[in-house]
Amino acid sequence: MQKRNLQLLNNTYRLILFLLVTLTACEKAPDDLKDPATTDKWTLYNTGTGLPGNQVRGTFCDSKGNMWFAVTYNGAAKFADNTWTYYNTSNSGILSNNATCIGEDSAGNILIGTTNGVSILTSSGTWSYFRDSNTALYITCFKTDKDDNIWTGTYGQGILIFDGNDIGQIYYDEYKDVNDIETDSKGNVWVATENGILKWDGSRLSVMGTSDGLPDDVVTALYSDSRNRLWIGTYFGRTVSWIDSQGIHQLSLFNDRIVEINDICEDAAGNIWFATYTSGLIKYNNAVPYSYKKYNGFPEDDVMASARDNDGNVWFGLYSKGLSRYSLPLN
Amino acid sequence: MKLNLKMVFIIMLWVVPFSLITGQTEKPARDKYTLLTMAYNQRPLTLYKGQLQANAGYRLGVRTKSFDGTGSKISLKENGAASVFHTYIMEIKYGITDFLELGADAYYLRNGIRSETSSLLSGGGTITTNSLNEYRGFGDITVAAAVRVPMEYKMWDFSLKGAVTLPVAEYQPSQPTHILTDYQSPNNYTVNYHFNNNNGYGVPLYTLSAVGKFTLSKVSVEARGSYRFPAKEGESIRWGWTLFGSTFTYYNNPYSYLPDRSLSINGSIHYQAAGWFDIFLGGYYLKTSSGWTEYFESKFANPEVTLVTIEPGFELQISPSLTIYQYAGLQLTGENTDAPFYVLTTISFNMFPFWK
Repeated sequence: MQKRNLQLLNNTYRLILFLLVTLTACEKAPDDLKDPATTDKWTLYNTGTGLPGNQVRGTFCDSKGNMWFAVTYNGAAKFADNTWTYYNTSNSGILSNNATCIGEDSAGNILIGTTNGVSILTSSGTWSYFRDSNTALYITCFKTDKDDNIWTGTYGQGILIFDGNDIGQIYYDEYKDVNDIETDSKGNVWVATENGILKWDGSRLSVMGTSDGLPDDVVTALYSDSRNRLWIGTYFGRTVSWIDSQGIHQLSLFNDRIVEINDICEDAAGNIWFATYTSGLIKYNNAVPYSYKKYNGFPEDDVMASARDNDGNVWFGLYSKGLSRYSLPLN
Repeated sequence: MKLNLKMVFIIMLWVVPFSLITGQTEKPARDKYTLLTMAYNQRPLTLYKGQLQANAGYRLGVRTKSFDGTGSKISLKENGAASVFHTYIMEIKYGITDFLELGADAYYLRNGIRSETSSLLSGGGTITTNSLNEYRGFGDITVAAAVRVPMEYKMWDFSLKGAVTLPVAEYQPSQPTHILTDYQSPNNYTVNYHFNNNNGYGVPLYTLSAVGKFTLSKVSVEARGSYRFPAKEGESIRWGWTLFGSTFTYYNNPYSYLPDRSLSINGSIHYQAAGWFDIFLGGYYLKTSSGWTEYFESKFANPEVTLVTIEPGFELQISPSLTIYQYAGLQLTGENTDAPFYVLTTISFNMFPFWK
């Protein structure tokens, strides 16, 4: 009887051990899961919640995931780990408080465009700058190409290209005002100007305008999306355009009415967002355009800039109300 | 397939030794009629040796409310889209001995959730979007083994059950079938989204259950606890599309996921009103945890679901081989879940096919 009890006990221990091994061998959730309750939400940032000013002209996500904002008359602001850091002429090496755009070079240095040149915040925290000693250098945009050259757009000075050692310039009188610069998956550089698009394919510069299918010659925004479409926004166009391997296509956002595009970006779900002047924010889900305006709860109808962060949020710089952040729904 | 056989083997590994631990011999066989007409309050938790049971069930679910993350009730008639579920359940079980039972079950689910949204554009256009989110198809097959205490049932019984849900059903969503209708101008048309989902889990799931039953005369109490957990992470796809002109072009992107772990506790009190009629009131508690789904290259925790349901029902013996079960489910409280009212009707066919 005692032997039988011992056997029973032994078998019971084996059974428990087996159950424990089976349970622990199965997949467990990792500890760094994100909270779904933080999604599908709009968040407004303004001077009341830490933004140094309410007019945001430039938005940028750096390679470390920090968000940067060019705030008119208030310098630049960085948002990281829910903390704001400000850079202005009284506390940093920034050239002007009239910041216009933010960029980053391949070494991780932050480029802050102003109406008086480029301020460079190195990854070690030191400042340097580039400006024209003869005239105010109005910077509008930055883009790094496949060879790590930094393309810098200006108003009035054309394009400045910095290859790490020297600065070159592309200047044509009719293309001296640059609104945006974008690269595509083939390595082409596209430049949006007040008089059409300049395309640099690595060896040749070509021009594109209304005669090539653009809805307007004043090109204000360019964006190369994850599906190799180059989106083109204009100032007086009744449509927005995109170029893919099939050619150029048109998309009517507002019943063929003129929509002034300020900026374009793509969210992590593949939606294309158009920041517009007077027409609010427009989301195109690749089938239907939806508008976000004051009448349906968006803070204002003038949206200056847009950018996507590493967490799936999209950020929109507003003309007078600060910043709006949208975290995408999980569906 | 190799993996599935391995999992069945794993379940059997812990089920069969348990039954052998006892070293109990089975009771002498009684006559078929007595066993087939055994009332609920006299029946053990597993089938008798040689008994074959085939169950066919239909569950009608009406999804009219849900519970949000704070536990507040949301009426889907007013703030969403109500819908109906049709679930067809098939189950077969066989008593290897009086103390060991093997079984398998599967289901077919059909559900469509419709919604309509009108999008007014500032240019004066109107784009109407209709959405049908449809779930249709077989679910995975679950194979199970249950053992009970090796003694004749008189007042109490205890059973352990192990089950593996095999990922045999389609689980990745099929390509959507969207169409465009009522096209009047570039900003005046109707988009009809039609999403085609399937019902499989895509990965194996294990379930461990323990059941206890206690009877005093005509009144019985039964309690069951079950814990289900996934074997591994799965990978599925999400469909995206572009509409150009009136033509939809589809593409898909992969994502990974881990199904939830779930704990469920059932309790029921039964009254054997007659030898052929048992009524009961059940309660059901469900809690899920630990699952996640990848979105935007990040892993998001699945919302943790809790749900408390009461289930009044009855069991009616029509003939020695035929029994009908029916119960309704009414959700009392919960979090992060739909709460469909449902009625489950099951016809149970019992026989001893190898008895002469």
